[in-house]
Amino acid sequence: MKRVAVDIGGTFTDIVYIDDDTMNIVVDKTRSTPRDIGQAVSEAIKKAKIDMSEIALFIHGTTIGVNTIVQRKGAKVGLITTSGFTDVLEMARGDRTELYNYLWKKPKPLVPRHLRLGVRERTNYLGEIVEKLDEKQLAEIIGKLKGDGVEAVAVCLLHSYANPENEQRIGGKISAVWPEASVALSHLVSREYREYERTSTTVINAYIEKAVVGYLNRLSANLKDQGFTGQLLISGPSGVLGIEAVKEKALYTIASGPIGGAAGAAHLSSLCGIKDLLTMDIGGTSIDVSIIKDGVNVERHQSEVLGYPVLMAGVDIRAIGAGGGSIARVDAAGLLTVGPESAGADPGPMAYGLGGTKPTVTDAALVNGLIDPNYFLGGEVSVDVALAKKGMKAVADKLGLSLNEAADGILSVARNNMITTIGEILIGQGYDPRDFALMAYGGAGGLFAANIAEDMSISRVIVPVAPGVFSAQGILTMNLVHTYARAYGRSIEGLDTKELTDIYTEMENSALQLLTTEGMSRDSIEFTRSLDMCYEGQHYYIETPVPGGELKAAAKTEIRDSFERLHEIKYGHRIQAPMITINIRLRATGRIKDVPVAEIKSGKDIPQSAVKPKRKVYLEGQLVESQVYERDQLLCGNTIAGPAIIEEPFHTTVVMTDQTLVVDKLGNLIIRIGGA
Amino acid sequence: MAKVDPITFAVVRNKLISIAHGMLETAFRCGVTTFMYEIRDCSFGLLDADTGIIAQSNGIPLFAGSLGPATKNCVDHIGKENLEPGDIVISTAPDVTGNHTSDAILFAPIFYQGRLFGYAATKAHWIDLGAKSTYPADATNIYEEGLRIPPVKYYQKGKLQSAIWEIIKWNSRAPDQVWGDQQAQIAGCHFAERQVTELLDKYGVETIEACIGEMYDHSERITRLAIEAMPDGTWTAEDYMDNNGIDLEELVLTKVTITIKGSDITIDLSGSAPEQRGPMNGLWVTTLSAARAAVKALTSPELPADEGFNRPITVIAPKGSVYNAGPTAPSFLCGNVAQTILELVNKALYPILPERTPACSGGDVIGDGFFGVDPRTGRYFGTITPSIIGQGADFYADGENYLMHHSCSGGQNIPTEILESAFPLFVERVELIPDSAGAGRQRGGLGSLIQIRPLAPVTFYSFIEKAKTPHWGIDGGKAGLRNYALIQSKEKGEFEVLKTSGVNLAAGDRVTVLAGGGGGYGNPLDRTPEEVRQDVIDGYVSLESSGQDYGVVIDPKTLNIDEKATERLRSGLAN
Repeated sequence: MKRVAVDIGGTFTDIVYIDDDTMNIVVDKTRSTPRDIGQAVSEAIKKAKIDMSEIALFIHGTTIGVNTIVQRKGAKVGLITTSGFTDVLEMARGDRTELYNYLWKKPKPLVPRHLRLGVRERTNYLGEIVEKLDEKQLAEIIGKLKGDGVEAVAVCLLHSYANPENEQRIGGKISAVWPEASVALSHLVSREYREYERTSTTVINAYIEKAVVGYLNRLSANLKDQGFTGQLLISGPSGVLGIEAVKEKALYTIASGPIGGAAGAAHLSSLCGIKDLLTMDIGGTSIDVSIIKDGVNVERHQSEVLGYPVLMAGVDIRAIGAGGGSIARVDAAGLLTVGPESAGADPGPMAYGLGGTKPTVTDAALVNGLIDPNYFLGGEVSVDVALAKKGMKAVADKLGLSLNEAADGILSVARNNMITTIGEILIGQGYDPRDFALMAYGGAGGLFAANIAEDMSISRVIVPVAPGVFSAQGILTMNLVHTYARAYGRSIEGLDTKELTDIYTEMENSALQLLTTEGMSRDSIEFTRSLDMCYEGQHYYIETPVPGGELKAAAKTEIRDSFERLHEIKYGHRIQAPMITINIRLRATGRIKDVPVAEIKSGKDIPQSAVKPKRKVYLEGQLVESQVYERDQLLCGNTIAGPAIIEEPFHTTVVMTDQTLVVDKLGNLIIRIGGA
Repeated sequence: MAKVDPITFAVVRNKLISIAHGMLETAFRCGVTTFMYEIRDCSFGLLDADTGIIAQSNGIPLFAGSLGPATKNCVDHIGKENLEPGDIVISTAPDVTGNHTSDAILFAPIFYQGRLFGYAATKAHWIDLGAKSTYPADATNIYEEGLRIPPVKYYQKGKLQSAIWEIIKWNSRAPDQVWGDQQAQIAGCHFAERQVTELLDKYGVETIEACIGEMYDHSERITRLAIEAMPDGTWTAEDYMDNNGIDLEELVLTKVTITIKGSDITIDLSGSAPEQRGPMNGLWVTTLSAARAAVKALTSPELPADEGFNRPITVIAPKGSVYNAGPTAPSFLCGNVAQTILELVNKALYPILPERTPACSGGDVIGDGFFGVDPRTGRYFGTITPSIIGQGADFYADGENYLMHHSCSGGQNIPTEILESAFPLFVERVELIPDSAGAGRQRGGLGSLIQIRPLAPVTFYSFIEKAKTPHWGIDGGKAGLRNYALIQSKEKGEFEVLKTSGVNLAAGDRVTVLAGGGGGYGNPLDRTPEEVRQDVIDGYVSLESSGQDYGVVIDPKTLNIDEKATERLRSGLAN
């Protein structure tokens, strides 16, 4: 099978081609084209000289969803809510993220107030309809939205998670009288409770749908023109998805961007036999962090995009505002800070010579010799160390430090900002960083990884092959995944196993149908059932596994025991309190044939071709003479003692003094810290 | 003490701040009431051995600033020398904590290598601690306001002192929920203890203390730079609280005199009303905290708070005055008293800081809620059902709609879907109130209303303030709508309520709580007609108000501006 992945990032669009039979792999990068992001896809294909008629599988990671919100170019959305609750979207939760800032403002709602209309109807928390839908008023509302030029209608009624009947009626009515409008019903977008969060999620879906569908249609047509007859899949929050599923729920594309790396890392973790991984994708403006536990990507059920909450399960990827472009400054009272402000790609770091006037992390790395100015982005971009030094001097003078010390300080503060935030992410979920190996990729991953690991008492670092395009490669390893969630508040005693079985069966049938249309055979499909549970009164829940098939009374005991065991593992204790369920969840996976793996040649000695001239670098408070190697010349089994620098196009890996690097059979660089 | 290098300093500082956030995160996971995990009526902080604040979590700023002084009161009472590893100290006595009885302070001393390093401290609102009613808004002395636990060891060397718990249990209407939230607070403290110990292991106590010293010095320098940039002089402002909870028709005077000299600032609350006979009495600890928060917001809003920010600030509130009441004075609504300091300070400093001091917000956290027995479970329940105010307009922009008062800026509302599932309440409406914002070149933020019908017999309480005096505008901006609650009861009829320690309601009665808007900034006649038109289209401003307040004439059918008529009307209104 021949497959292609195209992953669009903020700065670059990456393309990876794999021929399973010949193990021919092509990797390339082109500049992203934010104004028409589809253009970059075509260019990437052209540049990599791929014959699209031979491609069986084309997987695409896209930023179209997020871009549409960032640029405020979404559809004109009308929102229909339960009468009396039209302002929920604008009110949000009433808190401010900057505690002492009197001038702080909420993000502006995506639907203005005059397009948010309430209809008389009411369902209570038990799902009982206590006030009938006012059809006459509904007709007026539809007329008004149509008259106002609305293109998409979001519908979010109170307690629709418990009984969606009235939302369905509204959806039916709109389709009947106004078929050209697109409709997002909240119970279909997210069947969970908390009306603000659900409304926000539904509105985002409605807002980006037109742009996403249009983009996907253009993409399909474009690929077809190039002779492509294979299957087009889009990377989503937990796996890849068929194009029809994404058109149905455009929200999936919100998480399409950074997932590839996390998925690739999970895949690699099984190949390497390392089950618990912390992944770190360090780019120019941000770091994406995710966790792999027992070989599986850790997920979360709520995230946010540009300040708007999104209720959607997906791989938990957190962005931290730090990267190569992060700007260093010294405040009026002498405190050195790095980021979150970034110089981005334009003007970029001072050394780019594109007019940047503020010293950045990349400038600091150049000044201290960690990056070779003549091999920057594989030598494609020229950089001027003198400009970087000029920036460094400004910092050094204010702090009374030498140039090298100031640069080291900037790297150190940047690194520690990363460590603190990564620590918060891990600890916030009850994980101990020391139980993980660190996998680093992205443009600047290897620059920081060894040092971060040392500071976090992590014993192993893995830098995968081609870390600069790891994210694109990662999306080729993803399976088709559809997730389902539905609010389901019951006491464990009151759990009706028949009702529960029925709901799971309903979800499984619809997943089965969907996956079949996406080309999956029955034997490649798996279901994973779970229930979100907590002790009564608690707010944070634990996702608890549920057995498959028909659930009998004994299943209750099994579920209860699993929950209590998980609670004890996570929080260290059990509580004498009734247990309740919050949500039903199902994950349906369609397994795509694994990407074959290539092994590299073995050898005891480091080939001469890998050895580059030594150079002086400033590491851990002193200038040291470091060995330098070219990565693709290294062999499996090669061992390198730090301090050392491993170079490749688009990436530099730093090995600290007292650390040892080993190349494994897949070509991964494994750095061992503290003799582990 | 050794001077610490700037890099270690930056690193340790971030880590300490992250520990305070982690305390809160840990507690949220285990909290069992809406007070903890939805409204976030709590605060966590890390204190040094002298109870100076090193770092604090998001949450309620007024709580956070009072953690230090409250902990100090407890330590002074128990004796520093009597603290041991594994202890958890508790107190609910208002003159110790600076808050009402249901806001308990809990703290763990952190020992390192046999020496007291500091404290992990927390305050959180407990659902009920046995006052004459859950919200005694009409108490006349402290003994009606609930159980006053003096500073005592709740855990001694890690062991629960069950007698203390029994006392709490026997005095609370909802002991299970108190226990759950309290354990969440303790889990937060333990988290901090572990994290701080790791940090000390890594860097050594001397380095960490040097870093903390430098944190304070840095914060002090930042604050002093900001104060120095203000002109020397004295500024004053006055305002009123609606009443003291007992004498409902008598306004209570509040007054501040602010003196800036060089890089020092004095917030003097002398001249405010004397101690009151109702529960609207402020307590020293929270007065201090509020005054400091007020200065912080105007000097360094972007930085996390620590003890260093407090150094240039002197706070004066004469004993026996409404901002510094005696130990037996009723003080259940002390938080409402303290919150007034923030906007009073803004009002006073507006002449010299017009770009940083917004117009008055809705001016109150709008405390209201329900308690009773849930017929579905037979269990006692209690919850706040916050209505949220609009913010004052500022130099740059319109005031934000529906945003918590600054004194509780980390607090959240409760989703209707949770209120209705968890309590026997039915919410009929939650909406912004059109025309509730003060008109202005920059319009104030809109307030909101919540309308609730109980489904079972319940008691409604409220302690609403800023109903009787204006939510002032600035520089010609107008005032926002006042705050109040409206009750419609089959048995009792229709009436307005501001403060009540309990109105018994039957199923099917109705309560509407209206949280007013913020004041405007600048002359409304200077607002562009197009902005006014947009506000009319969106229903923030009515057609009547667009004419009366803004002088903009809009055709009710087409919603187009009648430019000639607008010009005429505006020139008429200007004269």
